Amino acid sequence: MSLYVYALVAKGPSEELGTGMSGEALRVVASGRLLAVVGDMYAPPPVTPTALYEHDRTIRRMTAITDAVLPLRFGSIVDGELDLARRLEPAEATLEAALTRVAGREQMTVRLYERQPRVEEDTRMSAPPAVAADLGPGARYLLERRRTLEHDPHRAALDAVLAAPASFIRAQRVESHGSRPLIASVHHLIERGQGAAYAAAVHAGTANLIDAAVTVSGPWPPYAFASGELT
Amino acid sequence: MTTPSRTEAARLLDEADASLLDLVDNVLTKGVVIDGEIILGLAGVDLVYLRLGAILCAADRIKAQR
Amino acid sequence: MSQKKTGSLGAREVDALRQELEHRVGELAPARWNADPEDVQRSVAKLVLTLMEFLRKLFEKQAIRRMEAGSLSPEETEALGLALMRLEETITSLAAQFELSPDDLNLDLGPLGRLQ
Repeated sequence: MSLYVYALVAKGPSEELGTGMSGEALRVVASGRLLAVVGDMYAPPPVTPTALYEHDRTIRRMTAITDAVLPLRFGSIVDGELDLARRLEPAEATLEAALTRVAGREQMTVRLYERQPRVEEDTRMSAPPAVAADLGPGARYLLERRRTLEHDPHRAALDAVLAAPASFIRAQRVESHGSRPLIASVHHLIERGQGAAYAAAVHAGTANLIDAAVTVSGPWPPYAFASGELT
Repeated sequence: MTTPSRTEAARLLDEADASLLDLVDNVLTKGVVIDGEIILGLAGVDLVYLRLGAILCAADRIKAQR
Repeated sequence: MSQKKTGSLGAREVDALRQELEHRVGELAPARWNADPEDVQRSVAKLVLTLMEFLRKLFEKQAIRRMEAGSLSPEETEALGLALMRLEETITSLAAQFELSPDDLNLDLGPLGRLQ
């Protein structure tokens, strides 16, 4: 019998935990200084949309009944409570800090997209300035790097996404993407209940972007703010 | 640990609508990882990076001595 | 907490997100019982290269700022530029050997913001 681990919590909830993705009873177990919400499971769950939705549903239920919930990745299975303790122990301080950071908070996600393929003329940078013939390759490299950095076509759009909801932001994670038209994903940790106001601020602050568009989703449990790996 | 194989992941993603994609992003690429010893063992490195980043950014703002 | 989404998405945007996720999910560590030593190496390489890339961006920003301020001699400019050029080449070629893309080496500093 294995344990499926859904999330870490700071306090044992006083309300009913309910059931997990396989209909199993949930319980809270102590692991060093941490508390984990687990369910008994005979076999690992299949990777299907239903299983993913049930995992998320279970974590959302935890956020409804306790303040600080740090989700684990889907499919986190351990052999038992000792195995769990062994795995969590090296990162105990990091995980405690992460729990403190997400207490009373939830995640909003903004994705930034190029609005339409840029016209060739728009993307061409101004011609490189004439440089003295006696500049070596190192100096020319630095000049070219400066030109490239100044002409980042997406910087204004990303800055708008980061600035518009500034008063709501308690923590931030930015992911750059290579698959166009997707440019970047921004995850913001906000106080619970501020989701609609956050979304309104982001849409208002990005409405005038000519060449980019955003989608805002959430609130989510704080998946992107779970310390434990580098994103 | 249930980590999707490449074919499972590809199939799941092929058929996913926009909201399932958002869900996949959250539950399959984020959240605390307790499998993969190298990742958890290096969880403390996240803090090191943040501290290092703070030191380096502070150094960045120090005016040049000359 | 029930989740909503605002803003509209066309098929191209959805496909782009799908492609990104295929790459990210495909990158995940394999199941324990299939652990491949090469994947462990790759995880370590990714960490090291991400840190190198972070330092490279920081040094580059500093070098450009000093170049613009005129506080570098021509010799210093040339030497710094060459060093940074070689650093970029080294990082790119090492990353390619481990099948890592530039996006894979992006280090977000959380509360400290992006370095760009």
